[in-house]
Amino acid sequence: MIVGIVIMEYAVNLFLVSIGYRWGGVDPIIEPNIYNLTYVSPLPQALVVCTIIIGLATTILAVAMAMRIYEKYGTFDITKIRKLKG
Amino acid sequence: MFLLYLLLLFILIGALIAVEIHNLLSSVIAVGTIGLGLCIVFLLLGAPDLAITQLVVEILVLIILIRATLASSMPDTYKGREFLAYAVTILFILFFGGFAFFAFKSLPPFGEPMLQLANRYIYEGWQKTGATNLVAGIMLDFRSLDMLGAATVLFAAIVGTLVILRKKGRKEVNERDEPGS
Amino acid sequence: MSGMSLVVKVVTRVTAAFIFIFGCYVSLTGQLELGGGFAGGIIIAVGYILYVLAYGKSEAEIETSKEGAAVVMCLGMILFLMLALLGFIGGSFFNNFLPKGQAGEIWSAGIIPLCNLSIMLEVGAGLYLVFLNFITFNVTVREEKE
Repeated sequence: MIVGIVIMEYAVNLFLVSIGYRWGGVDPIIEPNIYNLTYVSPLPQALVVCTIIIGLATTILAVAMAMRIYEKYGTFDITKIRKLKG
Repeated sequence: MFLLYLLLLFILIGALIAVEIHNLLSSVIAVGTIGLGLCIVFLLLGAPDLAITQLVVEILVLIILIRATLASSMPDTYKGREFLAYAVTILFILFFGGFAFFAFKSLPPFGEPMLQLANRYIYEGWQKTGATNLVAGIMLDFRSLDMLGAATVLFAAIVGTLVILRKKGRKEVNERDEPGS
Repeated sequence: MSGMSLVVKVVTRVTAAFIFIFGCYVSLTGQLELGGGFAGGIIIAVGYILYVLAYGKSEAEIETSKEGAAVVMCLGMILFLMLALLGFIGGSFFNNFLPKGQAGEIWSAGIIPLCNLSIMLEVGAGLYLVFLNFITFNVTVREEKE
């Protein structure tokens, strides 16, 4: 289940970044003497950096909870965990 | 563009392998390859700052997941799926695919400028913040409350993890006094 | 979990220092080149994790490392909140009140390098602390179950 959450979160990040793409755009790092360049939009990138970090926090907490569940039930199988009432 | 589609196909195959395979360690390694492919896709879409962050976060997630998998000493987990799970999965794919198709039809095509808000950030970004890296300038100057929120969420998650993984002294009462004092 | 072979130990002694310096560079020049606070902090944490992985659990002193890492993490968080509250000098919450110097220098862009420094301290020490707890957790589980 943790693998599923991680994959879904990667997919959402990819979608958000691909919104801001422009054909022939340059990376959003400004050199102060060159003008008239079309930049890739930097706004979704600023949001997605934040999102990646929050996804890392969620994954760490989920793995810690999974290790506690394993210690209590002895298995990772979800169907068995439902049957054992601890 | 051909390279972009090839990498997207690679990510898709990796994701299918990660979900369908029964060995837990192999599925974690497949998640690792997805993250690496995603990092290269970020480079192709013109976001090098994101690619660095995604790469190191991927490495850390892999280390922690492999540590949790090896320590449990249980290689084969899934015993087999039931029929209800398959039916719900197909129903959800049809539902989500239908909505996504209608949603994607109303977006402008790939590569056309869609966000007009970022124009103001690009024109005035260097004068108002003085930062050459536009992404970091927006992140920490125009949108610094988001960074405050992200740092606080990371701090809360780390403290929560420390609380969950604390050693409880079930047999000796004396151990419970030591972390408190 | 015992340490690795002698070759890995000797090479780790050299590369861990370079990884630390690279992490500080990526984090502190976040406003000029790529990176920023989060990427630099995670690079530093991975450098420390490499040291623990190469030397094994018994040789690396884990208990004192845990206390030190917790202190540094809380220090980073408090520094970040203080920078946010000091923005009241400029007029509003989290205002960029330091002077914006010449672009291309390190001390430019007002408050951004100090923010990157505090985020680097917090993220690096925090993730190292989490990894240490993940390592020491499983030993007690196996001893209690058997």
